[in-house]
Amino acid sequence: MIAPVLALDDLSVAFGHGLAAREVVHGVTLDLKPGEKLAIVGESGSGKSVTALAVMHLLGRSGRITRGRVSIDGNDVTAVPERAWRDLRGRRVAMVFQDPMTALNPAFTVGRQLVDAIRSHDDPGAKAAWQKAEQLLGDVGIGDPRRRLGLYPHELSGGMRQRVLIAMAIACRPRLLIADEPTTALDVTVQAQVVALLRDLSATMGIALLFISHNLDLVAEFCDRIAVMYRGRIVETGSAEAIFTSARHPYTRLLLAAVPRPGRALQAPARGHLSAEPDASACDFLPRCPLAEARCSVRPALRGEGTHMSACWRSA
Amino acid sequence: MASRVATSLVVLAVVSVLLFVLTRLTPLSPARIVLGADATAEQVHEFERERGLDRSLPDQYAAWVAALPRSGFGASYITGRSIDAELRESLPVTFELVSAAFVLALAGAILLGLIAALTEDRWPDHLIRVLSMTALSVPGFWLALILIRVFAVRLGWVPPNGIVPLAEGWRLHAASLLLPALSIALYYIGALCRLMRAAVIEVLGQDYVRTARALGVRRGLVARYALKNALPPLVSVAGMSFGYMFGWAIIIELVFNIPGLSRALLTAITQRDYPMIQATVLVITAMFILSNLAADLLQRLINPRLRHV
Amino acid sequence: MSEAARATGAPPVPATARVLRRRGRAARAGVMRRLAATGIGAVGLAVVGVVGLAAVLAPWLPLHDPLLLAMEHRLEPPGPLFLLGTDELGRDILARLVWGARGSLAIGLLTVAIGLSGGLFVGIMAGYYGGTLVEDVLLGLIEVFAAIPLLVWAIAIVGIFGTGSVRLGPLELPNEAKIVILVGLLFVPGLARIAYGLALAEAKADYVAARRLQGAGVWSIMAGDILPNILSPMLVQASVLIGIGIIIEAALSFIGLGVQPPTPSWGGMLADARTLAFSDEWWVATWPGLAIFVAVIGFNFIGDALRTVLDPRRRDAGPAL
Repeated sequence: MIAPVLALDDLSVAFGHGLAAREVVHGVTLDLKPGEKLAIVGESGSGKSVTALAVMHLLGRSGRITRGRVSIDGNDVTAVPERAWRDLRGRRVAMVFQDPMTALNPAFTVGRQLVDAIRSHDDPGAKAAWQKAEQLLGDVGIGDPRRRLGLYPHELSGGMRQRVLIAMAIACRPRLLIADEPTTALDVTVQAQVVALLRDLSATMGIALLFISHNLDLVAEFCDRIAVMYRGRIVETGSAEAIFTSARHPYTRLLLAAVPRPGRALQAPARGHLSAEPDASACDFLPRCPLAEARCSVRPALRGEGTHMSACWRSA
Repeated sequence: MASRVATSLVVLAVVSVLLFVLTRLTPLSPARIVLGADATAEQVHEFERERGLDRSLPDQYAAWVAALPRSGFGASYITGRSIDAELRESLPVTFELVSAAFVLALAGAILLGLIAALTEDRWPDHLIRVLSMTALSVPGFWLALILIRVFAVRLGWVPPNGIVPLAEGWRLHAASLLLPALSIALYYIGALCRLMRAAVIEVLGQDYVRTARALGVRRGLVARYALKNALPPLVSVAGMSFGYMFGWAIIIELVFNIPGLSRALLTAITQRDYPMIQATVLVITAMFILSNLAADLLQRLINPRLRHV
Repeated sequence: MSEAARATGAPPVPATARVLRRRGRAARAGVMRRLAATGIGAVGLAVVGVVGLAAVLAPWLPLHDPLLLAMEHRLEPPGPLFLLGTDELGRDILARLVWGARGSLAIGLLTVAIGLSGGLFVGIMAGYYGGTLVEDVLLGLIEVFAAIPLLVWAIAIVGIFGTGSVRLGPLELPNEAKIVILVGLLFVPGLARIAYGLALAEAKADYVAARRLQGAGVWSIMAGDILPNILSPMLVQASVLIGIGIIIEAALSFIGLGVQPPTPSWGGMLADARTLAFSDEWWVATWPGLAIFVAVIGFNFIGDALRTVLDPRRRDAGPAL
């Protein structure tokens, strides 16, 4: 049995200290096999980005893991100190962020930043690094790579910047690539290109992909499995096909229905709205759920047979 | 860039006109100063005609500008001494003092600002913030007195006044520069340190720093990334500070008895030597404008986005 | 919103403009209370309050005569009779310190007041007339005068015109007035630049365009709309300059070009104490310097706290001198 590339076991993350502490991720459990493409889908505030940052140990000063474990390639990395993380990042796990405009340093050329990323793990020397940088730019589909190495970020288009960031991320052949809404800040046509790029890279280099998005439609087409998050909890998980064709959790169905599709009438918006502090022991979706009933005042756990699970009393 | 240089030249020219007019508006006529209060009217007229002081202001200014490339500032019509010679003697002294202060200020500010930013909200940060607030509230001339008393008189580590010439050994020379330079620099260490801290904190929160960390880029390189983005705003302020320091040098040189521009200017003031005052202030203003220009140039070099502006 | 205004010809704006005009004032409401709520704000207010009160109440406080020479008491260390000691002419240092506060504070405050008024006037005009010749001319002027290193020119100009009073037609301006006007004018370019930047942004705002459509006069807009909204950040800048004004006054007095003896001034007291720095009479030089330090740091604290309360997004502009 090969160890999963990434395994989250009851992961919980909180921000703030003492009385002001707020838990934003509650008991997330999921795993990712080598080369697999898993999407985490949810609206803003669902905790999906925080989960990703927690995996990378990049929570910043006020965030911390309060419960659970993070394992990479079978090794528990939850309590690993920052110094060791600098080795892990880039080499085992890498991350691409949402906004390519700000994710690149405006004061350095694209080539310089790429080379710095390459040389931070197993430094092959300056010359080899520059050659590798050129090759990487080609791999991510940037034409005329040698010239482009000498350009500054503000001289490139948004789509190209994102490709550069992806090149930097895969530079050291990580086992896992986390992409946090990498296409949200891009045009629709460019979005498709970037997604295709990620899919191809995953296939050819065997990199597992954790793709975070709020767009269920987008991920359903190219990911293997999908996990849906709502208010810090996973409410449904299963293969992309299963979720797309027979979603079980009302929230998932809502997400799918909210996208206009030819031949289907637009669904009416959900009742109620997100309030700040819902009842802590009830199902989080209760205020907006069209199928709510009495037993929903007790939060259901993830249940289901096989790989398709959902946290809803009505889905069994 | 060329337009900036042109603007600076224009500013310098306008400033020189301003100075020229100011020194001609003086309450006391130069003739009276030199010849005494009971000089006759013909003597005054003779005096003025000889030095071209009876011509109209624009004529005088034109003549003054025309004479610049040939004979520099010429001789003072009040004391008869060569202004250029005085400036040649005193400017390098002040320049060295200001440069020393500048280096001290920058080194201190960058170091402390960096530490404060990297340890944000922990005790080193709080300490540095308090210290920098203190530093920029202490008047430099008072600090000078304290420093002299403690380090020169009580402890005898450095000479209490004057500058030991370089010929007597660079160690002694540097030691004699230390107290005056520090007196000038402390205010700027405080002020610039706060700027540095703010800039670095802002940069550390930027996406590209987060990206670099997420890709495991080495800490030294991340620091370089941060610095290169935090420094540009500091550079322009630093440039201005270099110019401002000349003003402070005038006060501090007085305390330490240093024979620089301060002595030239203050003596000129007591002697009512208007041409000398004009020349000295013009030179210092030119230094100020030049240092701003240099800072601008440096900023363009560091920040690639400004290069084509 | 401006589209709607232009389309209908009757801007739905009067209410909005009024609301926005209140924005600035609302931000400043209760400033004192909020200032006092921050730690350094409270300390700053306390310090400045004490110093200011002492300066204002000087004639009525139970102090020795600051001008009275008493050679038999010269250079006495701090003791029960002279709380802070005496200087080399036997004058009580505490009394001179308190009386000196009047000059320093007055000059510090007045110079900044002049600088702020002038800066606001020039800056708002330049910003309002953005894109026209007026703006270019004003900016050019600001550019030229901002290239003047403050302290050097202050010294030179006071030096040229002497330290006596100045006749201006029927008026007789004492030396202090001369200094206040001079330094105040030298403060204008820096403040004008900042005001210009702020005013430029405000002038482009929708509500200004709407007010113009309403037929509001230029001065009414500049004074009634733009000014209140840029006043808060300008006050922050100005508060920092007060400390600088105090230091400049002290520096000028220190080299003999400021407040003339025998009128007590902190800078002048330091000048007197120069020769004594090398000897054991530490108190003569310590107290005046400490007074300057305390006053300046008090105003700096207020300035910092004011920034937190009124204009937190702006970074501080660095050394102004």
